[in-house]
Amino acid sequence: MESFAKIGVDGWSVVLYLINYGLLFAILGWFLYKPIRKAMDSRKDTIQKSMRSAETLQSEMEAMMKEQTLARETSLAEMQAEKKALEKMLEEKRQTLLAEMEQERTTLLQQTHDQIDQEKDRVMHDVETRIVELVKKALFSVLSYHVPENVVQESVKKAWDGNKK
Amino acid sequence: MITRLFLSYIVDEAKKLSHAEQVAMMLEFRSSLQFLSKRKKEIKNDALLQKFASVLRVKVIPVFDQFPLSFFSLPLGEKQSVLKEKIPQNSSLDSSLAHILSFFTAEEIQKQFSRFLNMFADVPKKLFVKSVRDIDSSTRADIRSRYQDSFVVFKVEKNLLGGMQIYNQGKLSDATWKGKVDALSRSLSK
Repeated sequence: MESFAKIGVDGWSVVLYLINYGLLFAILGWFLYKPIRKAMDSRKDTIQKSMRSAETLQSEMEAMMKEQTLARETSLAEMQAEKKALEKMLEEKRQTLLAEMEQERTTLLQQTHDQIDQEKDRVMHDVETRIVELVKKALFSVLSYHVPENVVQESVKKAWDGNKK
Repeated sequence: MITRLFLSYIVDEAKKLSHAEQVAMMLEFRSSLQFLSKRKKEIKNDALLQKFASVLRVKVIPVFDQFPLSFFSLPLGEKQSVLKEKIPQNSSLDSSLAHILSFFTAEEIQKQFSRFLNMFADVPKKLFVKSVRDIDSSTRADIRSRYQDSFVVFKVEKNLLGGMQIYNQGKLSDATWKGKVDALSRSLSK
């Protein structure tokens, strides 16, 4: 105790100081510590809530993102399938049209050949008819104007003689 | 025309008969004179008309055949001078025939003969002979003798070119050059 007195530390001062600081702490504790603690607790709660809600939001967001990704992938797959189906249908349609065009072309070619043949036959027939007419005219002309009269007269008698037989 | 010839025939026949025979003939003639209005059956059974028909065939038609179809295109004066030479006209029948040959065409004469003679047939017969030139009298007589049951009508058609055609009861016998040319052109067309 004397050593403490030497350095100027009074025991009663210490006790007073202790009582003083004790009262100070008590008062601070009563008036400050609780509210601060309360505030800090509430802030902590708030921060924890916020963190929890942030975690919830994050998990929800992740779930949503997962859903969206899934939906996007599903749509993409559907679109791919539709695209494939459409391409297949277009290809089939193209093949059908090609086949029809080929058929049409064959038919037209055949019709054209038939028409050409018919026209050729008609022209041949016309030419033959014309030739026959010309031959007939020539014969008529020769028999009418270039046969001697006695031959014509004789033909009547010969015709009757032939008829008698 | 036929009536005129018939009357001429009666006159000629009457000249050969006695008075009594003439009277009998006139009685028969009176009923025959209306032959054109009679029914066919009665004409066929009329003895006087049958006799006249055979006179027509034997005497009149051969005289008609002596004249070519070109004769009928001659002027009247020329025709009459030719007829005076060829037909003696000793009888009424000859005179009537000369008159008919002067004033009627060959077609009209043949038509009347054909119509009259067909009245004696069971079935009227049509027989036409078409030739490119006129047929001479001997060939005509030959043709008529071949077709005794019909009266042959002769026609000239120059467009036949040669030969002759015979149309008999719906059948055509074509021995003309035109027919041969037509047959040739038909065979070439096939």
